[in-house]
Amino acid sequence: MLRLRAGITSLLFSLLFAGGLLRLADLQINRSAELAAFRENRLTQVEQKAPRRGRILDAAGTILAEDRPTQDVWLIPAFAERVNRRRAIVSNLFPVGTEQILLLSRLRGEESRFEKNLALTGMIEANPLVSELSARLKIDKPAVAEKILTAAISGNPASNEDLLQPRPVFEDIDFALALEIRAALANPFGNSLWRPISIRTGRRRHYPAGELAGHLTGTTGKLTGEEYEELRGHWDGEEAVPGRGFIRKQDRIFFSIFDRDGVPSDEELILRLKKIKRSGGLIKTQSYLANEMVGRGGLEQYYNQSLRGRHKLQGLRLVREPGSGRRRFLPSGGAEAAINGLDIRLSLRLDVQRRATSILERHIGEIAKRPELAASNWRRSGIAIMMNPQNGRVYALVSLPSYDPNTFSRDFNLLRDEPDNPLLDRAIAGIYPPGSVMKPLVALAALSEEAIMPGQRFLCDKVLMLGGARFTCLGRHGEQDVESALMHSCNIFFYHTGEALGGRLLYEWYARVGLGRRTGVDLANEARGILPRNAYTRRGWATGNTYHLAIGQGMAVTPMQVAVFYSALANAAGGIMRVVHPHLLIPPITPAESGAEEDLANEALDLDQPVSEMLVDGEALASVRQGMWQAVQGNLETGESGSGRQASFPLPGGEFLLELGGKTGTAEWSRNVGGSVVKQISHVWFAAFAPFDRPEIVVIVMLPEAGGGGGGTCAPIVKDLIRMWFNLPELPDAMNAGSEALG
Amino acid sequence: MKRIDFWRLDWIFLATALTIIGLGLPFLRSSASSGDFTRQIVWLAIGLTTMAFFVLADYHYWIRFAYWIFGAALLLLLVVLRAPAINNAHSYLRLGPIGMQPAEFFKLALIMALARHLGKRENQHMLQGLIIPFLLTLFPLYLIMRQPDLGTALTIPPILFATLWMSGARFSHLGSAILLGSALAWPMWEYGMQPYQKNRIYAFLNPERFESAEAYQLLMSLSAIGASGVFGQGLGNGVITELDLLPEKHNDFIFGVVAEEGGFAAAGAMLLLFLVLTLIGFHISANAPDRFGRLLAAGISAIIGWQAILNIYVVTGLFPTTGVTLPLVSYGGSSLVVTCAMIGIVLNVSQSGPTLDKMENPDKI
Repeated sequence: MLRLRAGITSLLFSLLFAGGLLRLADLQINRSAELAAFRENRLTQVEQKAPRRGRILDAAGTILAEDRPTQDVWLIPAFAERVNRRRAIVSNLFPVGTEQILLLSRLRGEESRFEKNLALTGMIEANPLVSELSARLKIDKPAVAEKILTAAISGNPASNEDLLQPRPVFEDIDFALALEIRAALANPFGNSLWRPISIRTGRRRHYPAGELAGHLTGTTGKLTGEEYEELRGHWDGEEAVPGRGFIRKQDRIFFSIFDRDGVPSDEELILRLKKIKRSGGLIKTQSYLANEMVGRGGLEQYYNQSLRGRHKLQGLRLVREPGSGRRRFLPSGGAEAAINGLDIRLSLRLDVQRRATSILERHIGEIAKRPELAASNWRRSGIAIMMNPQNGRVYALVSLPSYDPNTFSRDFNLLRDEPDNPLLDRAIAGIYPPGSVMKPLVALAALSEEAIMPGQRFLCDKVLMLGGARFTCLGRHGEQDVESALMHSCNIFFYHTGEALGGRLLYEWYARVGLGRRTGVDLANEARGILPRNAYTRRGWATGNTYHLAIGQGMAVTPMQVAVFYSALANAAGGIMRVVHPHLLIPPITPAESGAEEDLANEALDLDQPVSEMLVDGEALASVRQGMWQAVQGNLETGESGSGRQASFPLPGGEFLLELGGKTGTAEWSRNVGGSVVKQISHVWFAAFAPFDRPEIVVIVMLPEAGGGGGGTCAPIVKDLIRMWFNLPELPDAMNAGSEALG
Repeated sequence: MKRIDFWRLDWIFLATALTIIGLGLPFLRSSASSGDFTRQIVWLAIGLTTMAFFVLADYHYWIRFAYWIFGAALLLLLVVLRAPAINNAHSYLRLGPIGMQPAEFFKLALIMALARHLGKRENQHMLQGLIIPFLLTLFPLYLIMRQPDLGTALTIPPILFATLWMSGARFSHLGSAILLGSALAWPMWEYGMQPYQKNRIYAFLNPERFESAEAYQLLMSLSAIGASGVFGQGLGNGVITELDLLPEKHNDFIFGVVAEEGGFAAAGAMLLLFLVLTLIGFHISANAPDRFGRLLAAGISAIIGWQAILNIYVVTGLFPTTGVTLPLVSYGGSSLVVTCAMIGIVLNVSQSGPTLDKMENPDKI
């Protein structure tokens, strides 16, 4: 009996001990690997630090964008260890009553985030630190409280250690104020109020050229939480990213904000999202930092991968500080050094850009005084492109109105709602009907395809009837050949030419010079324009549509696309026309020091190569170019002047200071206003290249909805731009006294 | 006093106890400060001396003073409630340079008193026979919970049940008492527990979700133990020590250090040694020459085994965190000296020959 009782007791204890042994075996043998991973995860962190972002320089080395040091206020949510997250914020940092803490713990439940924040903000507002910061930073208290709260509750909610990690609250504060706070922090007898605060030196993007190059540089902004999540999902585990402009979900929204002048098709939007750009010049990419600065628009976005460099990776391990015994994450194990972002050197010449901008602004100022524009709430927008027709290097790219990238984030809402739409880079993303600037290409196509014979004439009787529909011209030009039709910009001649050529060939030639697709200019958010595919398929296509297409109506292009095909017309030599790749990137002056720099330099050289080459008939080309010559300089034999004569540089005695080829464009368009089609003020164009024999520059000027004809409105601007480029003297304007010609 | 019979001494029991002490020392060395370790060595010397004393002192002799010893321990339990609180508990009595925990001494005093009381009577199979043993246990238990020291309080009941069981109490009576005690758990929880004690239980039930220091410690110590595998991180290489993750790492959580730094090999060995110690203890109890010896050995084996189980369960996350020391291994003088004394008593019981004590009647239980 006694032994039985002792036996039962022994059995009971044996079972309990066996339970402990099984548990140990489960933890240390069965789940060992899993728990080791968990432990490593808790004990280690990787600190990532963004390097200096690359600079953007113009051809002369003038800085267009660079990082500048800033003074930032950082907050450490908790000093005490082993504290509850919310309690730490409220009680440790900001002394408040028990009642409020209780309220907080209730709020930790299912209540909305909004209520939670509201309650916390109210509490934090009462804190002396908040009043102090509010007074010094000149920000109102609720805003300060909100900022502090947002910073404090960010991070990993499961980790108490995380509360010891400082995080930024206010960026780029006044330097004197930063010094003051630093002094307060350094004073051991000072006010303990400043304890959670520290001042760190940060970096901020600065754009010395400001508005002048706003559309070109673009700006930078922090990656939003959504973007970060998306990118992380996308790039995880990939070594190199195929596109350097990073594509955002918000592109769709961004686009609709940006593109008020043209309505893109759905297909356009989808392709935009799928857009994969050429790689090269890439630093092998890595994951993004949660708050990383990324390019927004322009070169900053397009060359983001090169500019951002590679951030420093530092393994951290949870250790106990020898002195204080406090646990914190300190560097340990491997570190990967940061690589500063690459500098981007541009073909852009800031002096040319500045002078071009002021020329354009001056003219716009004068044009705005015209009665019809003063009445019509004109947007005062304008585009000027100056580009090398031989290799596509852009010297100046002006799109007015512009914005200042330095204040972009502050003024974003204002800029977005501005009726003038300064966020739209009209030079590459605004799409407009080109009008008559298409005519030289149509003529070249017709002659090359032998749709019309050299010297072929059509009679212009001001009106052409086609099955009851009237197709009109601006004047009664009489018998016209290619040269005179280009000189006068005769519509009737091109109706006939277009009909002879046919819609399909017209479409093909347009497409060959790059219309309807992106030029590939190295700026983010380029538009493709609209080229009606029905001209090719002939579905629902009538001769009247061909007529329109032949004079550049019923389609839409970006000014940059016009610059590309005028470059092709200008650079044609030996029967080869080169469709250039417009670009801003050029090789750096200094030899490459790293593989990435070499890649970038090679890419820049690569960009100088044309996208495609076309064989054209030399005679046809000569005749088209003669027409473009006459459009500016006029026909010296007959004494007739061309539609673009206001761009010419006549000298007394039939000589010219500089000869150029060019073409006017006046694109009519209508808007559907309450069910009825209302004709709007025309978009006006002038496209030119100079010198005529060996063109070294292509100039495109385009003023949306300015009216007055391409010859009357844009030709004088082009003339001023060319004079500026070639440094030509101002001459008495004998030839321009005549009546205003329309394009 | 009888001379002790060294030939009949249970050497295996002694060897097991000494092995546990020896196995624990390196881990204590790695986790405790050098000052604490030196102090513990001094305490160990005192403990071994005490053990020797109780091996040599015939329990039949000192059992006469059991009630006096019990009374003194009870008095200390009352006095300690007036002592200044350390870590929010009135459990520590400081007399000059020496500090002691009366509750530790009380454990032994209770075993002695119960053995004395139950050894003289044989009415434990009846309900009225249970009244005095329960009173002897419950009043001091209440005092200990007033300190409050839930951990020590949890180690007391097995003494009562083991001694009653080995003195012939009915299974139905003891079972009912256990059920009743369990039923009292809810009012205890509602009115008797401190907020930090409740937090530990919340943390135990839901460590991932509960944002508390307790849950954090539990997760970290569990993962540290698990990650160390079969052979451990090596002495002094564990994160529990390195990061000071657990406030009681050399005390209540010493087994965590053993498991992490020594791996499954060391922790499993230590667990098995405790099992062996307990089983031999009950074996000695069953073979004791009289009721006094039997009950002394039973109570002592029960409390040592139970404390070891409770401690191991807490450290491995099978039981909510309670401050229970691991006998012979944890840092702390009172516990070590008292446990050594207990080992000595059991050894003394083991060598006692059959006696013709009138009170003893092996056939009647």
